[in-house]
Amino acid sequence: MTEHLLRKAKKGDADAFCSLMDMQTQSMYKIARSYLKNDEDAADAIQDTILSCYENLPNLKNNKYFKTWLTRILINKCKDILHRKKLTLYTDQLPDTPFYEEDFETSEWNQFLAPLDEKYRSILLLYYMEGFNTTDISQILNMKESTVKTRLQRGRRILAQAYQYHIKEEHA
Amino acid sequence: MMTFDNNEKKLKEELNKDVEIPVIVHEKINRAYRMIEDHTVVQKTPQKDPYRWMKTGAKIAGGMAAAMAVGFVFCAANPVMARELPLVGGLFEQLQENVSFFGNFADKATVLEEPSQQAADSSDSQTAAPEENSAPSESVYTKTADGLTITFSEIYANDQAVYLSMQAVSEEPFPETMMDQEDQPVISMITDVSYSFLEEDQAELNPGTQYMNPEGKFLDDHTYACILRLNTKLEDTTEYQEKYDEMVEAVLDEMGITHEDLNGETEEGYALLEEFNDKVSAQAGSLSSQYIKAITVPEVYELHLSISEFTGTKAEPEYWDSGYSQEELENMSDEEFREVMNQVPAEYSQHPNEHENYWFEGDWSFDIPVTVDNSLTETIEINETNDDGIGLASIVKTPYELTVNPLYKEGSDSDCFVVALDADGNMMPYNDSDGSVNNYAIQDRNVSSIDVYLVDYIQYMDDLKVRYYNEELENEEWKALLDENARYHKTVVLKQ
Repeated sequence: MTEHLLRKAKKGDADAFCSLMDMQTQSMYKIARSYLKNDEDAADAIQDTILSCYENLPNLKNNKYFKTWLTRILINKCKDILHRKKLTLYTDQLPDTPFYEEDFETSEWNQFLAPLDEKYRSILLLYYMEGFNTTDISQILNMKESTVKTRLQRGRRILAQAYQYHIKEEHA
Repeated sequence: MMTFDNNEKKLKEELNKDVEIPVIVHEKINRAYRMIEDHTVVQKTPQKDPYRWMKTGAKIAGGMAAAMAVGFVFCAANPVMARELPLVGGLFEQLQENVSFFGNFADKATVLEEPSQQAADSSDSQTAAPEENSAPSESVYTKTADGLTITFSEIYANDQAVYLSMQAVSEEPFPETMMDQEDQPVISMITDVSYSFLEEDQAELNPGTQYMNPEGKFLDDHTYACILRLNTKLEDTTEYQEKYDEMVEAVLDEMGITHEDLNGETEEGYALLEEFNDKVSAQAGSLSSQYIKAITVPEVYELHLSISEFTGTKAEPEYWDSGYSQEELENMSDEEFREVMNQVPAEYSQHPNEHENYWFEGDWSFDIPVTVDNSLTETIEINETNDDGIGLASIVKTPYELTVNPLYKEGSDSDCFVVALDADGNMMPYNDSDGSVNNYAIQDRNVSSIDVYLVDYIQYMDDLKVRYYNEELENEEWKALLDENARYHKTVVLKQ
């Protein structure tokens, strides 16, 4: 579905580009929230990503890398925001606590990922939600493929253990 | 107990469940869309380095890198500009031949005078360093941050745009800066723009945060000057957006499908997608003609302009060297290419970054009174369509620009591209500071009349435009090709 829209968007068709981005909203939000702890920051990261993506789309050589490229930009935007926040927190001597928002934190979707540390969370999201393989993920996250495989396996085990435990509790 | 396979399935199911997208995310997405649709953000031309896209993204160690690049620490510790500010009056005269929308601004502009010049002078004399050449670092139209002093000095406005002359003086010399195809320094600014006449329920129609690529030049090693063009041709698209959404749903209903059926990965889904896109593109124009409402610009208002980042691209940016030639990279298999891309260091994936850019960060905020002069704006109402229901609504001509507004009747196929030729048959040049493909710079062209063509969008992009550039067609040949293929054509005579 994306190929036709990509072709039009690359020629500067704003409507096609916006349709393309609409298709990515769910995944962009989930990925952004796996890095960022409040909706406002996630919204900023997504906005910057859309603009950067639009500006640079004509430079995307091969359309089949679109999803990888977009995700990489988004993650870099998220890291940028995290980096700026850390600098601010350090400068202002504020406690380094994330700004959790109740709605998202209590949502079923986020509860499912709750047992996972952030370093496993993003990899599982990219693998199971986005359908990237471990090579893609290693490229997006700039890490060795062996590290991706290890974390994927470990994250899977953590969730499996968590859910066995959770299921037992429910039945108790 | 769950088996491993069950667990995999469960993981996929859970992670692919839709979540509710918060309002603020929708708002920011819509803001981005508006910036794209308004042409505030425009697509960059393809780079020679095909892998440059891997190098865009967030910035690393921003403050630190910036300090290394332009000596922020020194500047921040030195509150008084040690350098004499060049005379800013008359900037329009110095710059007006260097912009894409060139023309005589100097004879129409007014000088932005400090409201209490004498008081400011008096205050400066008490606080400034004793050097004779010291200049005020703060006033209504001059702000300093991060070692960069920005001053606005002249203004001209009509109901289409505001033009401001601006100069930026750096305490340290600017690094050598890359020049673009138009021989302009590659400078960008993150700005926030709002107009006092857009308040309360109309406030969201303000341009808001936008990236600007000003048109200007370096006057010396410390001084960059430009003419900023701010678009005031504002539109209320609320009703249009509602109608557009309804139209999309109606198209889906008519086709008996849902969004999920538009799947380009399958032959059937792709065919549906093509049909869907054609139907939507065909109908969007008439909705635009009917429901997009122009905002009336008052004769007097206040412009709020904040600049938060000023970035330049270095004349010789350092790109990451993969060790392979471009030819070798292009001939690689997907696996080999990915392997190379895995090795791109993170610091090259950010913008701005110290390898490619220098930049200043701070808060340069200005409130600028605007008086609109419409005496030189000519609006030619045409309001005609052909048998296909497509045509021209109007043409608006200011001393520097010309805007063509097409008209699409309900039921017409509006998937068109506008081409305009001047009276000598030359393609009208675009205004580089606007980005709209319906807005042209008059420059020194003969616009006693113009020929407006509406051409099928895909045919223009895939065939006609390609022939124009590849075959280097003469004006007569180009005009003949347009005459032969255009879906609508009109010659409009303009006043001189």
